[in-house]
Amino acid sequence: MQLHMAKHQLGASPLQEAADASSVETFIDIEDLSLTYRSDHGPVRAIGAVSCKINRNEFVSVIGPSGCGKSSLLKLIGDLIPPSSGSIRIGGEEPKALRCRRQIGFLFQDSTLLPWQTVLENVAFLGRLAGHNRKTSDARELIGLVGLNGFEHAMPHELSGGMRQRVAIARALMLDPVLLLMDEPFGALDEITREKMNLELLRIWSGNRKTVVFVTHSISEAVFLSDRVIVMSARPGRIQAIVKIGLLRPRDAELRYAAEAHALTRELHAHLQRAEEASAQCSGAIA
Amino acid sequence: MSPRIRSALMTSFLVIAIILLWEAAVRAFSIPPIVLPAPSAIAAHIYANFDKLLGHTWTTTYEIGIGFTAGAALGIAMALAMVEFPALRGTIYPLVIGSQTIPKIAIAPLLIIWFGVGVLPKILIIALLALFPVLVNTASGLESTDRGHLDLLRSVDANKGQVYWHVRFPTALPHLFAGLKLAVTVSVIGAIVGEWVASTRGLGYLLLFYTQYLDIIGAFAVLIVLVVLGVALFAAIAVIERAVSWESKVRRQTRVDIAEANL
Repeated sequence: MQLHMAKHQLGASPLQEAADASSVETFIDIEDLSLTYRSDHGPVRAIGAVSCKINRNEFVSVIGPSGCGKSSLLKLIGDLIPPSSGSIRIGGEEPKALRCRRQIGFLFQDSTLLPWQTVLENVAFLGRLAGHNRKTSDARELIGLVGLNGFEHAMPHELSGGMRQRVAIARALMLDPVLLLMDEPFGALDEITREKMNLELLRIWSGNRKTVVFVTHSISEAVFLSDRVIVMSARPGRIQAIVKIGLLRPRDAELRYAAEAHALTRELHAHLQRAEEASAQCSGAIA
Repeated sequence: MSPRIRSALMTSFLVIAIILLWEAAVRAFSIPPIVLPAPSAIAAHIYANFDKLLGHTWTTTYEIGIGFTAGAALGIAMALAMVEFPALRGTIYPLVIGSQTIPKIAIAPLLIIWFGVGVLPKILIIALLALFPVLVNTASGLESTDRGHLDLLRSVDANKGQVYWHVRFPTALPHLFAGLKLAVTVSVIGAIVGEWVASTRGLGYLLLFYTQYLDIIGAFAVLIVLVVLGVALFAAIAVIERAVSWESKVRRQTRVDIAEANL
């Protein structure tokens, strides 16, 4: 255990950070982004003036109280919905350009597998639809990568929730995306399965580092996975804090119990609490 | 034994039991044939008049075939139009629902006056009856498409055709078949109603003919043929559904799982 702690402390050393800084390149540039949508009770400001930068090959998590617009932020980055004002640039381009080139992989809380297709068909279909020149053998390989060898011809209803999300990960990777957007992909799973999926995700991610934006409401999940964590406050969603997670990679299951991780969890918790209070005051003011 | 075969056997036993009970009751209480003929007498009538019954059955089946297909096709087309153009939904739907409140029997004489005593007015009545269940079910099926599936397809810039082919149609399929099963059942009713008003052929005509001459055995024979025809048409839809619909596969598989779990 002593040795273990030492390793993680090393992760936060100045030397390590200097190495990080040299390879930093802004990939996603969000400026003054806001989103207002119409509802039955008049316009609702979901996101208000959010600006931030996400680096290439960085794993960034977004946490915040429910209704803080973190899912909306993800949909804006992926061009599933248009912003009310402000701009998003991904590698200098509009999100729409990446979406139309099928370079953005999405994961949703629900696996959104097609229930009428087998695992293999589900993984292959999105790539085929996107016109990517990928073969069935690629799909099989990805199914192997997410640990579902032998389940190629299973139907989604025969799989557990965790297995379905593995299929969804393989399906997203089939696009060979430059950006992975994950909207609480493990939110519906039980704690043990979720931890297992976290490890799997890190293993897969470390194999081919894509830029990942990961929305979650679990602080420990955000700490365990991310390079940085964005804390949002609600109504309208704003950035409350951005916390750097300097834990050394590769990370293993034991890291959850390391003192470093605990300190970061506590720090994020404090930010989140302040965010909750801010939104409570805000809605109090409206009422 | 699979649950399917078991339930089919149970149904057969029940039918045989009812027929035996019926036969026994008619004999035991000496019920006159004009009130309730014995199954054996009905069977004998069907056997003796088989060719005649077959000819009239063909006419009715032909009317149902064309009327049902036309009504179902129109229903699917209207459902697509309504889902694709929400403005259309607001204008057409109330009209369609309004048209359904008119009893078809009430407009059957008008259709006969307009289109004569041939098969055309019958086909129109059947189509009108078949349209509604197909339209309502298909529309709700197309609209029940998973929001996440639509987001997923948008994330790869899928075009409208791909969205329909990969997501909307498969989602709507079980609903469509529910509508088709209802529609085929009311189609039989539509055919009989149309033939009752004015016709020279068909099972409805034959039924009316027999009852006017108080040939109750003949009337029962036609009723039996009608039941067989209705069940056969329903079964045909069910067979097609089992072949093409993913939901029946999923359900069948689940049922097998349960059956195995019970062992």
